[in-house]
Amino acid sequence: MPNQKEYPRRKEGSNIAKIVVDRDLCIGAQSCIAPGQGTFAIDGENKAIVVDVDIADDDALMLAAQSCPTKAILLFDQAGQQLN
Amino acid sequence: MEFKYLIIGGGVAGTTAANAIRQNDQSGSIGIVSDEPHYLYSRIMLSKPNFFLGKIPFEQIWLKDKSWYKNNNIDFRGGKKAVKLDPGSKIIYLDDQTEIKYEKLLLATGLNPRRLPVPGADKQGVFYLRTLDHGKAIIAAVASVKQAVAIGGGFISFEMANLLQLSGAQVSIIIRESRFWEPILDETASQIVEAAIKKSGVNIIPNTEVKQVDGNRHVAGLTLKDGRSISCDMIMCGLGATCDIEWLEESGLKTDRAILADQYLKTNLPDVWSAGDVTAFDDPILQEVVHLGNWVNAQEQGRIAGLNMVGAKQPFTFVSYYTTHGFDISVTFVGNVSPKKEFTTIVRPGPEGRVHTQLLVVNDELVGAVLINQTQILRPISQLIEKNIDIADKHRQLADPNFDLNSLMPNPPT
Repeated sequence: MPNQKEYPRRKEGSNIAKIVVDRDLCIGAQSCIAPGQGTFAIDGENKAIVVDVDIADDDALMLAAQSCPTKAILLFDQAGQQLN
Repeated sequence: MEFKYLIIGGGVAGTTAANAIRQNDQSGSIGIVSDEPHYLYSRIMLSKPNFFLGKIPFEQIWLKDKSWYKNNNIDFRGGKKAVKLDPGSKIIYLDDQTEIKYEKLLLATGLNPRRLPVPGADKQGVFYLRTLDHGKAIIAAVASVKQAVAIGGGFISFEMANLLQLSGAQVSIIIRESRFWEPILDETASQIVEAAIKKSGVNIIPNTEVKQVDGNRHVAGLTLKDGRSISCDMIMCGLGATCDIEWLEESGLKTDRAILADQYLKTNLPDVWSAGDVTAFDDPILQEVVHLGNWVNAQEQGRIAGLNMVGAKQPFTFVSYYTTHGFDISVTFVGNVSPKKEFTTIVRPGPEGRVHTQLLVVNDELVGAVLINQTQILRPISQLIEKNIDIADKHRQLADPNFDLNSLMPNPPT
């Protein structure tokens, strides 16, 4: 079973309803930290976690997810469709 | 053949540039020439133990597939090498005699590993790491390696020694310097890194260089300049990297071991930009020419160069960073860790033997940092660098590991 952590999002006007971090894939490269504008941080196991799920706009989150060199960040809309 | 936007280099800088161009110019033709046959893959994964040991599926390495290039109308030409640039007639010549005319050109050809310059270095079992094919060859070799030697005291050596040791080999690291990662790491930082490496059973041999590689067709060992010999069946070279810019010599492009670009990543030639590891740029934050080689830097430079190629005028002000995890520790370089200007270092000590931070200061401003087991302060450190915050009277706070760095920000988070 994949070791995924889910973060439901409630930001007004956002098309992204959920951020998922796959902890098995994450290598702690931290490429999501800057584009995520405060969304992500690194925990004690050197894995990305979401510390503020609603702080960034959709474009920033898409950029953060695309920046991940292991595709460990997955973004989903209301209907459960993967966006990236 | 002709493209409005021609990109030489199919790595993360070139591909991110193509993406940024397409988002802002839906119809202009885009061509990417890559000396590798592969679509964009995650070069950063090539040295990650979890990838090598199969904990991350191999397929995960692909970041873009055929449909992405097709849907974005990007013409990918893999396995081709650019051999000449004629900036007057705006033509790139490829090694298969193809001539490609461009309106705007991006050079994003990355780095090449420095070769081991000793007799016997061409034997089987001597490896470098740049391409996916190198990675595949190493994965195949690692399965049966018993004794391995990593040469060099930097990221490649650190990460590869870790994965060789995890795969069961007996590993030695040979470094020319007196300690690991000298001079970027200070003595305390080097000690933490070396202690972690040695704890895993890996042997570090300092203050020496390789004289020759021994063996018949395949590596059987190597002889050091001090006369010692070490037997091994694999050698991993992490001797730094150089930019392949010889082919540009006649073009009039300004270079200094790398392609020189201004703060907009524009070179001295008309309609020619440069991005990624091959680029040394005028850093507006540091006000000196900076040359970095890491994933997030290449990606962000690609994005900015792409935007500027479609008419924007955005300076590159991103504070880049690279974190590696190995031997149960993390090492992060933020910003510029080897400034040319005179700098002082503020040490932010941690629990002894485990945590350590070096903050590099030029003219009362932070320009770079080395973090050992301190990934959680990456963001405030990056912001302190990016926002040019005057820290003249803040040395005491910066050196205090209990001081909250976020409070130095102009608008500290609440």
